[in-house]
This record gives sequence, structure tokens and C-alpha cells, in this order.
Amino acid sequence: MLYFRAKSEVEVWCQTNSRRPGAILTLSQVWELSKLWYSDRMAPDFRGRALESTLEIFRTLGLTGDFWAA
Amino acid sequence: MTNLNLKQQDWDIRLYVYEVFVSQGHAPSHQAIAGHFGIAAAAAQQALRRLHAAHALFLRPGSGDILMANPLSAIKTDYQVETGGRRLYANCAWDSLGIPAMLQQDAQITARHPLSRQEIHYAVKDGRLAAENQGCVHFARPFKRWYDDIIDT
Repeated sequence: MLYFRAKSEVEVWCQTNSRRPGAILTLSQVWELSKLWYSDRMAPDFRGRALESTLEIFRTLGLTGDFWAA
Repeated sequence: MTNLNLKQQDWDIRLYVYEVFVSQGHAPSHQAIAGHFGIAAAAAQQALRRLHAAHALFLRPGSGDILMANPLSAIKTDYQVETGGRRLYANCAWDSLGIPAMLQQDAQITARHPLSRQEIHYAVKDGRLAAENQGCVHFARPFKRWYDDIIDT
């Protein structure tokens, strides 16, 4: 996952690297995703995350559609 | 991350890896893990392979060395995170914010622009993305393909 200043730069990068565009999130969205995804990562009782819980995180942030599906 | 018959000690080793990563800025070797837990080096390697298979951390291809314990990277990357008086490296743009989220600490991130290679700066302060931070992150692979090639992802 790469940082860009603007969506237009993503298009240039995709063309330059012969890649199809994926999903573009704002940095603020990624911060919200980071908090839900990583806040428990060093908890002593962390035992991974069930797929349904992962999908719930995506839904909470409005990340729906085939790109975010299992 | 899938829980593939991991043992309690596997999870303990995983947590130890994270603790060393954060405190020392690098991943422990399997020998160091073996020494800490009082187990054979081969047993430590096997535990790391089980954790890799469960996506609980990732080893370098063709090697038993730790490459990633997301959001942390064992090698220098384009995403450098200064937090709590230490320098850590994130695997990607998402993980550069994952480190302050995991540690619940302020962080200053210095990234390299993928096209121009210029430095980019953004920060987390008091649990918030600093207000002046803008920009976006490109997720190249759909979720169902993230673990097909974690390095590319």
C-alpha cells in the first residue's frame, strides 16, 4: 500500500508500473482502519482475528464491494 | 490471520518478537528466541514457520529470518516511523499509521514518494492524524489476494 498526494498520482503510478488501479483511501480513512486493525496487536491475549471480524472492520468503515470481500 | 493449531508457546514467541521489535528496532533471531525461551534453535525455527503459516508474522522467502511482524518491518523501507524516541520501519503506508495505532503513541512518519522519491511527512499526535495531513493510500490488491504475495501487497 503506497502513499500518494493525490488520486491523479495513483493513475500515473499504475500506468508506469502496468498495474490496474485498486482501492484508494484517504489518509484519514487509513488512520481509522489502522486503529481498528492494529490497536490490539500487542495485547498479551491477541490470538489473531476471525475472518468475520475482519469483514466487520471493513463494513464499519464503509469499505464494501468485491474489493473488500473475502 | 488464521489460527492454524498454534500452541501457547507460539503465541508467546509471537508477542516476544513484537516486544523486541519495538524496544530494539529489529526482529530477534531464532537463536535469540531459543535463548529467551530455553528451547532448541530448531524448535524456535519451527515455531516461526507455524506463525508464518498462520499469517501471524512473515519470514523472508527462502529464509527462516523474520521479515515482517505487521505493521513492523525488519528491513528499511520507504516508511520510517519515529515514535517514543526510537525509529521503526513500516511495511507500507497503511502500516506507517499502524505503528502509532498499535503503540498508542504519537509518531512522525517520513515516507518516500513512490514516483518522485521526495520525502513526505505526516504525523499522529494525541491519537489523531495531524490536521494538515492529506493525501491518499492505494491498495493495489483486493483483500482476498493480500496473502497471495504479502511483499507485493
